[in-house]
Amino acid sequence: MFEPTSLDPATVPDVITEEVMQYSFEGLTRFNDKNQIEPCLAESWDISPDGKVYTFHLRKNVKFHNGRVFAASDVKYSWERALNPHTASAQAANYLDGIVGLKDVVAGKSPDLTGVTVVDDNTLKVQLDRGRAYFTGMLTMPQDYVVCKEAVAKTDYKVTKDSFVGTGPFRLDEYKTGQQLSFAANSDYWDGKPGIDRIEMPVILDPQTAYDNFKTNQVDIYSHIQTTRYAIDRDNKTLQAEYHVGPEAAFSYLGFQENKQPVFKNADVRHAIALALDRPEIIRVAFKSVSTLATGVLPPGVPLSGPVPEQFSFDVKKAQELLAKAGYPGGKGFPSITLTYRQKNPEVESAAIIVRKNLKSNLGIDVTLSAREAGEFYTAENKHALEMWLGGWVADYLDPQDFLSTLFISHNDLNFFDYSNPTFDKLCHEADAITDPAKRSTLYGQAHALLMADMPVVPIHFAPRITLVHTDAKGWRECALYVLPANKATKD
Amino acid sequence: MFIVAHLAPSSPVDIIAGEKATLEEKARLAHQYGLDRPLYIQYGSYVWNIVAHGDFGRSFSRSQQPVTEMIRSDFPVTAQLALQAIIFAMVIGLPIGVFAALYHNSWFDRMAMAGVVAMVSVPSIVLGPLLVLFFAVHNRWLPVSGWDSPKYTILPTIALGARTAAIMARFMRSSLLDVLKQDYMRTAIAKGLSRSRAVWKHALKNASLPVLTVIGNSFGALLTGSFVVETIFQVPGIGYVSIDSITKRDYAVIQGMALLVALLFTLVNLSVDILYGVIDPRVRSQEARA
Repeated sequence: MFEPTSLDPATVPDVITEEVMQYSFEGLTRFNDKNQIEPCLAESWDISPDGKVYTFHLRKNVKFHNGRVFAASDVKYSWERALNPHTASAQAANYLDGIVGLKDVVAGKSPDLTGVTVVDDNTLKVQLDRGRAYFTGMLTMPQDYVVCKEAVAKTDYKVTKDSFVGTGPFRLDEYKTGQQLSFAANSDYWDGKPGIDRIEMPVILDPQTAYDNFKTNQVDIYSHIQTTRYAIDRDNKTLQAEYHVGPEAAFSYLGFQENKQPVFKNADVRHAIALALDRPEIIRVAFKSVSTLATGVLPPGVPLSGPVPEQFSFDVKKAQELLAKAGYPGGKGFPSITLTYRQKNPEVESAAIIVRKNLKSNLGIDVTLSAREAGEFYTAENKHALEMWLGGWVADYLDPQDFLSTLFISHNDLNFFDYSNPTFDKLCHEADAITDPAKRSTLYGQAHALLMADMPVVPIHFAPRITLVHTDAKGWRECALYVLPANKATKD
Repeated sequence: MFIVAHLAPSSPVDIIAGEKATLEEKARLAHQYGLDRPLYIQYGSYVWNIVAHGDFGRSFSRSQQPVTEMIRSDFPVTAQLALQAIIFAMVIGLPIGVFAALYHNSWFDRMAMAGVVAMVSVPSIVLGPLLVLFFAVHNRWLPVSGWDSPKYTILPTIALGARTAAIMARFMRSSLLDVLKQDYMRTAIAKGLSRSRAVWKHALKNASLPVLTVIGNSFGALLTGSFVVETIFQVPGIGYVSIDSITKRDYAVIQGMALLVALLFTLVNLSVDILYGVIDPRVRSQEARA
């Protein structure tokens, strides 16, 4: 695995670091290997009829790694610390969004998160600004994990290797920067002593080195494997038995920025491009037929998604008719477009080449490719400075809200496309607020169908989660987001 | 280096904030870390912290680890790898060069030079994975990566030192051939000195001067880290940290490593100059006369 970027749950920026956090820290809720939210430090919770007040009943006799018993005040402390400017968390405010009093804590005006009330040692009440049915999903994020206040008080209120104290199934035993993290089993873990005594995570930057380590039995698990690696091993019977391939809560797309390039304001243009893309060819050539064709922006494994929207297929004739109807017959008069993608990803580069080929040969549209480094790419996305790009979205929690509302509601910070449809907004706002699962599913289904009819993005593929696990490592669990902590794992 | 690092597009905030952070969140973080201050103020603050407190700043991408701590923990690893590689290169390369010169145009000379050309042509990015494939994956004689015990250091040492060994062999051979052709060598043998004594007592010493320059330059280059070898074998040295810090725009680490590299090259070149004077008294007396 790569070097964790941070040891502080409040400042975790990526999923690899998030997986490390889960060994030692926990939140009130978590996901299980069936992609369902289940209780974690909260045993149960009640939601008020208006969806604004959550009352969490916390587990009793849960201990931190230093032996102290966990209490409701630890939750309030942890969230206030995460939001405090001193912690310098970029995303804590996102994943505690809606709690009354949050803005004052983030602005440094008050340390007190007034919307969180400690009723007693095992009861916590949270007041939201409005109904947010996905709130328990957000609580699975590392920014919401519970830390040990007396430990962080010794390290300037930030979690370091000397204050890496949580309630999780493993405690950090040793961290050699650039080399390895070592965890030892927490024998007092509330969910049962882990089946393995020790976990070691070597820091390995090079994917080939990580793969060789797996083949030589120096590591038992190798996760986040690229599709090309899996495709190479397709005929290897021994390795195939050790591959775990499952759905990932992510989708890849071709995005349009209609304010940067006004030609994309025309829905016929967007649909023409969608129909002119040979998406099966992209999946076959760039992703070695390991990915599956995207049926929309909601991948499999995301609950409450509603019905799959109407599908479109590769249809050059129809694409050409639509482009002509938009005023650009044969691509005549169509401006040259720059297609941007992230550097250092040969699969995406291959996909970009196919997109360029498809648009030129099928529609007569000239496309220039532009590869950018990751940081530069994300900043340009944020600034809405890309005309057309190959992007992807990986969910933080398994809820359609994290796809539909987060990405496509008008004027949302992460709506890189400047997509705006008041009907879509209304459907999503309503679905986000109500707690009835059946109604939410229906509303999200309608919103999804409307989105696909408007086509602000062309969904291309759903990539799977691919992990290699040695057959003697039992009980290894994953969900569509990440590898789950190994507390149920054993080794023969 | 400070200005060059800051001129590159994007900033460390892009890494620590994560891809889902909004512009507002990134601006807030940039402000908290002082990255939105004018460049001359950031530079002044950086220099002042070094001079007044010996503080080279903290890494954004490695859990705020102080740069001085990174150098203290990572540089000895690179130094050990570089030392092992240079010793390997000398033990293998110098004898090959000597015997190739002594048995000039023999089958040994021809085979040695063919091997040298091959080794010089194979970069460590190719040699490293080949070594891993043969010694670790297929034959399980050595581990794939890591730096836990001496056996972990064998493959990275060979991968890093092989090319330098080949270069040393070539330099030693051509330098010794030049010396062997000199009049004083013929005179010494004509006056009754045995060939082997003439070579070991006189020729080698004179032939070693140019080779010393190669050793010094090679050691400097090896010391400053080999990104490829350290990444392939996951050696926790300054090589991969330096390159990793560039891709992540980790300014403090970039600047700290640049300063370290400059200091190391200066020290190595100075050491080579001093050694020249030790080996060749003429250099000392020329300098004294000057």
